[in-house]
Order: sequence, then structure tokens, then C-alpha cells
Amino acid sequence: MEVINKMVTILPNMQVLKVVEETKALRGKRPADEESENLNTLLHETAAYFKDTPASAQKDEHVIKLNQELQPYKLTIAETVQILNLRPSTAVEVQLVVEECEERIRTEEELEALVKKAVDESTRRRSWTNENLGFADSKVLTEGRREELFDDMNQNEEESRCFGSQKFVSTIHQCFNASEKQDIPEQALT
Amino acid sequence: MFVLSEMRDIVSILPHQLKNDLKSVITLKLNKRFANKVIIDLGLCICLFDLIEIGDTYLLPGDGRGHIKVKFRFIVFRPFVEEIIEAKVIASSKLGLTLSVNFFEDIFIPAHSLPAPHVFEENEQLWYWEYQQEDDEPPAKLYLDPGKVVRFRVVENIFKDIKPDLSDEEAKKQKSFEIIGSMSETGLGCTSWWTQGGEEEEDDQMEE
Repeated sequence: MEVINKMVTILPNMQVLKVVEETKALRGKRPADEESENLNTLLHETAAYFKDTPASAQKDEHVIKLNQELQPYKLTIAETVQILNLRPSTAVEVQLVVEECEERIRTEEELEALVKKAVDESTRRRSWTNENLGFADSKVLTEGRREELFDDMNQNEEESRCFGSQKFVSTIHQCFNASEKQDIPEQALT
Repeated sequence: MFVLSEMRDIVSILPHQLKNDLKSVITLKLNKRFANKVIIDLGLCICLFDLIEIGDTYLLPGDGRGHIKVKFRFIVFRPFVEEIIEAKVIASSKLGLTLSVNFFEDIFIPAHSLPAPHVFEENEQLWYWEYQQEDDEPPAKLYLDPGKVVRFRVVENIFKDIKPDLSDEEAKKQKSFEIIGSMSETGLGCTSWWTQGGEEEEDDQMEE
């Protein structure tokens, strides 16, 4: 093994996610014994990390759009990629990412405008999942328990609503994957 | 966080694998070989990006395999110095915090680069940031407990060549790739401290 070029380019998270998903789909076609443990674990963990970052909602057009919008600020590639990865929603976050921010983006208004451009509704992050949401189980049917049951039912209703939107996301995901799966044989042919 | 690296290697293909499409066999072999491995001074290999060049297949006497020289590009996890990354706290000790990005868990924030002024709570083994408030109220304790999502700045990537003949215990302590980070800046630390909701939280604490 020989490394020819240590860094061809920096990759934004969304592009990495795309390749990871592609590799996952490709892997699905192989018989189980050929699968490598390392690869599977890594693909799974990487995808899980991206699930909670803005990368999961980004498409190529978002990247192109943001890149165009950031042109006037004359940011470096590294800075643009970080804005893509983190989607800063406050001025403080932008100042972290952009070096010598005060000298390069002089007015407050300019900074505010940059924040507005960085935060795209369609790519807004979903909050990290909180696992400690379940509540205690009570076996005795008391007044309190009945209320709990009602709460439970209410919550279920809310959950099903959430689930509905999740389903929607997963359907989009399936469509996305489906198109990728069709792409792969073509790639293999070339 | 990720870079694309160009590499060259020789892939050997067994005769029975030739029935499959050559490109996908090579892809699989390279992924198996490099995925989740640290290459010194390069980083943690994630997965194959594309194949650039597939050379001629060489057959050697006494060997049924076909040896192919390939040039390819691999996705490698190697954050650049000064990069801002989001991660989860997984452990905390007197020395500092250990963070994880799910697929990589050797990120360390030494105690001296936590948000200042920082205090270590011996009983709970937790760090907190003593947030100085206006007025004369006592400072708020903003905890950095495991599970929280934090933002940090990369200070250094450390690569270490680990000898293969170490005992298990020794091997556990050694890290071939470690990232040292810092949180001593405005905007770093828990993400919730700096977002709109976080500010409200802080306000609540102030009221208390």
C-alpha cells in the first residue's frame, strides 16, 4: 500500500454519508459470509452519527446553493465545509468557524445575513435523541394510574403523529436508495 | 472532518471470484482491507470513494490468483487542526473529558482546556463550568456530563506506531490515532448553552 496524495480534497459530511449509504446498498447484494465485520460496524456507526447532524437532510442542490450564497464572503474551502457540516444558527457559531471573523466580516448586518443563509429550514438539524424519555410502570389501577393511562394514550397519539412524519422521511429515504441502487449497476458497467 | 486520499495497492483475486464483476470485487476487497483501520499520518479509513485506475492482471507461477495494481481514492477521517466538530461526551475523569463521534472514540479534551473557570466535582466525577452571572448572584454550574452533545476545536492529531506484539492490556492503553481538542472559547462546550433555547435555560438558572 502506498499513499499517493494525502489529501485530494476535503469532503463535506453529506457527501461522505452518500457514499456510505451507497456502500451499504452494494453490500446488501453480497452473501453474508463475504461481509466484513469491520466494514459493517463502521458503516453503521458512521451513518448513525450523521443521522443527528444536518448532513442527513442535505442534498447536492443545498450544497451548490449555499456555496453560491457564500461567494461574496470570500471564505476558504475549509470554512465553507464547516458551515455546511454544522449549519451555524447563531453569530457566535459563525465566529468560531470563520477565522478572524471581525476583520473579514465587518458589519453586524453582514454577519446576520450569513447566519440566515447558513440556516436553511430544509436542512435544519433534528435534535439528538433523548433515550431517557420513558416513565415508570405502575401495576395498580388507581386514580393516579388511570390518569397515567390517559396520558399514555395521549402520548401515543402524539407518537403516532411523530411516527407519521418519520414514515414520510423513510419513504423519501427509500426512494433515494432505490434510485441509488439503480445507479450502481450502471456504474459497474462503465 | 473527512478528506479524500489517493492510494495505490495490489489486490489479489482468487479464480472463483472472477465470475463476479471485477470492479465490485476490487471494491469489496479494498473496503475489507482498509475500513476501520488507522493509517499512520493519514487517519481512520472509512470507505472507498472510487477506483481511478485498474491495472493489468499478473499471474505468477505456482499461484492461482490474479494480482492487480489499482489506484483508488478512499474516504479518510482526519479532522484538520482548528476544525470545529460536534461530539458526545462519553467519559469524564480528573484528567479531562473523552468524547465520541460514534465511529471514533479517542477524542480527549484535557482539563486545562475546558471552559474557564472549570471545577471538578470529586463525588460525581463530573466537570462543570462556573458561569459568572451579572448581579451578585452565585455563579451557575453548567455541567459537562456524559451523554451531552458538545462542540470542540481540534488542537492536535496524534499518530502513534503501535507494535503488534503487545499484550492485550498494553494494547488497550495505546492509541494509534488520538485527537486532542479544546473547549476554552466562546461558542464551544455544550451546544445547548449557545442556542436560543440554551439561553433561556441559562436565564432560568439565573432566576433560580
